[in-house]
Amino acid sequence: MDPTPTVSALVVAARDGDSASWDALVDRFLPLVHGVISRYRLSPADAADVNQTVWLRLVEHLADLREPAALAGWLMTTARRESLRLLEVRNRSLPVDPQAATLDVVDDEDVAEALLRDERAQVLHAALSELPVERRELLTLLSTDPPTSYDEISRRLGIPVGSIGPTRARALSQLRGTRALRSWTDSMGSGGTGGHRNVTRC
Amino acid sequence: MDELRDALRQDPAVPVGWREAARGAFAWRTIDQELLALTYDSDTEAGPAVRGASAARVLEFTGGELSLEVELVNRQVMGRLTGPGAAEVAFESADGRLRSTTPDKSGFFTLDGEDHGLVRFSIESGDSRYVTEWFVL
Repeated sequence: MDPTPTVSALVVAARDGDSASWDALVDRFLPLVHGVISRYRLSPADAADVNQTVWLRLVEHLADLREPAALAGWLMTTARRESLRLLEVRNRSLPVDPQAATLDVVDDEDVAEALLRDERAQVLHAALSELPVERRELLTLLSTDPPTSYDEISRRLGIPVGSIGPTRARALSQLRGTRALRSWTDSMGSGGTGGHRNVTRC
Repeated sequence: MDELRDALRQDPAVPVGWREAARGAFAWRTIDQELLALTYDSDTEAGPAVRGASAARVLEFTGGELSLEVELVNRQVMGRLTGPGAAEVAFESADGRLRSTTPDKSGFFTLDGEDHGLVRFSIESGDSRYVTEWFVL
């Protein structure tokens, strides 16, 4: 198996015009971008436009990304900002029909919980995308519900059953050390009450 | 590990067409073009919405010596370009449609626009080419 190119290497290659590297970046980060955008109540057409905007922005900024390794954060920020922008544009320009009564009344606590859960899921996705492809696949296979058997994993990934346990441990520790998870736990640690609720579930 | 399982299970499928759009964005890679950033958007400025529903959306893009101010109303683009001297302005949509015009001596121009979708302006002046950031109508 080829060694997995790092995000930085893919960014540099894409910057130089290598479209295969661009496609690899898209494949790796599209679920993350989708996750962010789908948190906002945009119409399917608007959500698709935001997705395209995010990638066009990235194309424009390939050359001046200061920290290619932090691409996940850049993409999340851009997706969030563009989603909010479009929501505002729509709210300003669409007349509200008071008869429609589509104002969902949702408990604030529920929203906060859902946002935190979503955010945590996205951070995990971002963290996963920083891992080498073999380790990412291993963790993904181990996370299926019901769990994939070690025999099946061994067959699919072409690694001995005996090495799955140790590799899993190394992959999880690498996951904890990823930029995405570290910066998130740091922000939660200084974030007050929200952080507490999380820690108890980890 | 449990949390990882939750996170992956919650992951709904990426909608059809998103991957193609994302991959296709690479075709818009620009090499010798200067980027004009969106520096003002009347629809997203904070503050009370004092305008009526029919009011125009005003956008401003700037970069280097150049600035472009446009007013979008009912599929019409009215704009003013300042900076480059003689130039050609085009209104492009991400699906490849393009309309262009030459501003008058004071930089004013009018173009037929789109009513929705992903668009940007491009400006050609002598050997220089500028593009604005993409934005959604």
